[in-house]
Amino acid sequence: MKVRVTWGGEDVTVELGDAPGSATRVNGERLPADVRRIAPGLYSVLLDGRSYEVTLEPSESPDAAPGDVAGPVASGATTEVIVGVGGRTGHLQVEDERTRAARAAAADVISGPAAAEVTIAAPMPGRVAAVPVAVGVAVERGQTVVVLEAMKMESALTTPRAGRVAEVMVSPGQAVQRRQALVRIVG
Amino acid sequence: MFKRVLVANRGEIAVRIIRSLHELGAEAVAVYSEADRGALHVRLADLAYHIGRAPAAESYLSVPAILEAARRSGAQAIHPGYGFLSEHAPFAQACQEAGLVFVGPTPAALALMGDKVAARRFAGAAGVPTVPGTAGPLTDDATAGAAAESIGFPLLIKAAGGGGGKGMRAVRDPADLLGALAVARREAGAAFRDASVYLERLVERPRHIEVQLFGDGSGDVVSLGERECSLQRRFQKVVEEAPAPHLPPDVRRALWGAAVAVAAAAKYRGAGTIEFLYQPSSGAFYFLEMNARLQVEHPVTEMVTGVDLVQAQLRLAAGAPLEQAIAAPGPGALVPGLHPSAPGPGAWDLGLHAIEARIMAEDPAAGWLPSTGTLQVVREPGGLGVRIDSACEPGLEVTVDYDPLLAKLIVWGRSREEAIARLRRAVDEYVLTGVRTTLPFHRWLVRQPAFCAGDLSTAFIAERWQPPAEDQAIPPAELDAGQLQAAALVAAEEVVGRARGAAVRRPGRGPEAIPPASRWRTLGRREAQR
Repeated sequence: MKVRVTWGGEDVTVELGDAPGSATRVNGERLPADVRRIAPGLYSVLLDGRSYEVTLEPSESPDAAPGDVAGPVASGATTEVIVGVGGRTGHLQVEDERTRAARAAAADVISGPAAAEVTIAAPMPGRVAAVPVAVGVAVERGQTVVVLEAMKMESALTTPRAGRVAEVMVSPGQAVQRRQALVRIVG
Repeated sequence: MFKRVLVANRGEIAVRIIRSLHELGAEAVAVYSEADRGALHVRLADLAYHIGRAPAAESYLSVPAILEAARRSGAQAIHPGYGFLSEHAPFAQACQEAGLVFVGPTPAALALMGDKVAARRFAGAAGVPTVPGTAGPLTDDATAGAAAESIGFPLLIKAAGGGGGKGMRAVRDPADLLGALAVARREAGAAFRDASVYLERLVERPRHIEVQLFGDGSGDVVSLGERECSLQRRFQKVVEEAPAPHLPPDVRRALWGAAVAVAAAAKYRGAGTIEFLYQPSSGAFYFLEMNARLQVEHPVTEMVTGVDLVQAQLRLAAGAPLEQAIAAPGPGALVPGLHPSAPGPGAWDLGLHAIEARIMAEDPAAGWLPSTGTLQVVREPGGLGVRIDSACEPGLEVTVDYDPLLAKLIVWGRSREEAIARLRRAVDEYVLTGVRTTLPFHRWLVRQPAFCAGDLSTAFIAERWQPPAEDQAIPPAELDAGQLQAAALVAAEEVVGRARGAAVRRPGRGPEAIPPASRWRTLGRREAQR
C-alpha cells in the first residue's frame, strides 16, 4: 500500500509491504526496514543496520495545534501525527492512496479556505488576566492580544499576523478552557 | 529519629522526601488532593490521607486539612518540602502548637526571611551588601514613581511575600512602571496572598550564585558550598550547577562567609539558602534573599558533598547536633572541618561537579507556556553519574493546578566537562511524550559553546535561546536522511495499521511473549489441587 507522508512542505512516498512492519520502498527506493512498536507511542526502526527510536503522538485536530493559533486549516482527510526522532518533533501529515483518491474527487467541492483571518485560542485552561486590545484596533505581528494566567504565571498570547481585531470573545477575569477561542484577527 | 513523618507536598519532592524517610527507617505519611489519588508519592508512602480538592488552596495549602491528616496518622513531624506551606510562618507555628515538629526553621526565622524587605535590611545590618532599592513595600503608585526615580532605571519589581519569579517584573522605561506594578501585584497576590511589592535596581548581566547553609538554631552555621543558578527564564531557574564555574577563590570564600554571617546572625535552624547577585566584571556581590527551606536544586549540592540534605534536616529536627545531622552514620564518619569562621573546602567537598536540568511541562519554543496533557511514553535516562528525581509515570495527568516541574535530571562528573558530556548523553536518552517539555531546550543548551565554556549570566537564555522552528515548516536540518525515513515509516505504519484495525507488530520478546499472569494461574492451580 502506498502512503504519502508530508513534513512541512516536503513529502515522501512510503510503500508498505503486506506484512505489518515490513516497509519496502521509500520514494521508490528499496529500503530494508524493520519497524516495531515497543509500547504505545514508542517505536524502534532498523534501517540497514542503523537503529532509530521514534515516538508518535496523536495530534490534536489541526485547528487546535499546540501554541496559540487556530488558523485556517488545510481541508481534506489526512491524518496528522506528532513524530519525535533525534530529539526533534514534527507534525506529519499521512495520507493513503484511498483517501487521496477520495480527496481528489471532492476537490471541486472544497474551495481554498479563507486565509485572511486567524483566531487566537487558549493553549491551556486558565483565567484571562487582561485583554490589551479592543475590537477595531490594528495589531502588529507579535503583539500581545490576551494575557492568560495559568499555573500561577501570566503568559502573553501574541498574534502571528498583523491585522485588525474583529472580535474579542472573552473579558478579564473569565475562566477559559483549553482551545477556547479568545480573539479573532482579520488581515 | 522520628517513627512517622508527614510529607506536606506532592510530585517529585514528595517522592524524594519519602525516599529519605525510608532510608532512615521512618514511616512516610502522604497527603493528596483529589487529583493526586493515583500519584506516585501516595503509593510509595506508608499511609496516605485525602486533604481536599485539586486546587492547591483547597488541599496542599490548607493548614487545617494537613494538621488533621497529621493527627489522624499519628505523625510526629511534618516536612513541608518546597513551595506550598514550606515558608509559611503561621503553618510552622500551628505545627508547634499541635505538638508536631516542623522540619524547617523557626516561625520567627520564616517570618523574617519571608519578608524580603526586612530580610534585606537584616543582611545589611550583618555587614552584607544589598542591591540598592526601596526600604519597605510600596504603598501607592505615587510613592512608587518617586522611589523609582531615586533608584533609577532599569529596575526590578519584586514581591515582598515570596520568590520563584512570581510577581517579578523588569522595567526599563519609566512609562511602563505603573502597568508592570499592576501585573506584579496581581501575580504576587495570587501566588503568596500578599500583593505587596518593592523596587530594586536591576544589575545588568549578573550571575546568580547561592550558598547552601545548614544551621543548628543557636548561631552555629556551616556552608555546604555554592550553586550557580544563572540560567533562568522569567527569573525562574532552569539549570543549576555546583560548584559555580570560574569563580575566583577569594570571591568564593567571601560569598560563603557572607552567607554564614547572615544565617548565624539570624540563629538560623536547618537547611537554608542565601541567594546573591554576582557581577564578574566588578567582583561585587549583593544579597538577594534567603530561601528558608529546601531548594528545588538542592540535589547538585548533595552530589558534590555526599550529604543527603533531607536526612540532615530530619536528623537535626529530631534533636541531633549539627555535625551528626550532616554526617553519615557509622564509626569514623563525622565530618571534620565544618566551621563557620573558616569556610573553605573541607572533607565534605568530594571534588565533583554536578548539573541539574529541570524537566518542566512547558514549551520552550512557545514562550515557555505551560503545557497540559497526559504523559504517554516515560523513559528516563540512567547509568553512571545520573540521578532522576521524578514522579513521572505513563498516564500521569499534567494539569494547571500545580507547578509545571515534572522531574529533575541531575548528572555529576569529576570535572565540569565530564558532567556536561554526561548531561548531553542523558538528555538525548530522555523520552517524555504527551506534553511539551523543556527537553528540547536542554538538548540545545548542552551543545552551546558559551554554556560549555561556563560563560554564564542571568541574561543567557533571553539573549541566546532561539527556539528551533520545529513543528512548522520543514524537517529540521540537523536530522539525517535515516531519521527522516524512520519518522515517515512510523507515521505510515501507524496510520495504515489503524486503518487495518491492527497495530504494528510488537516485538517477539515483548510483554506478549511472556506467559500472561502466570503467578495468578499457578496460584489458582495450587488452590484447585488441594
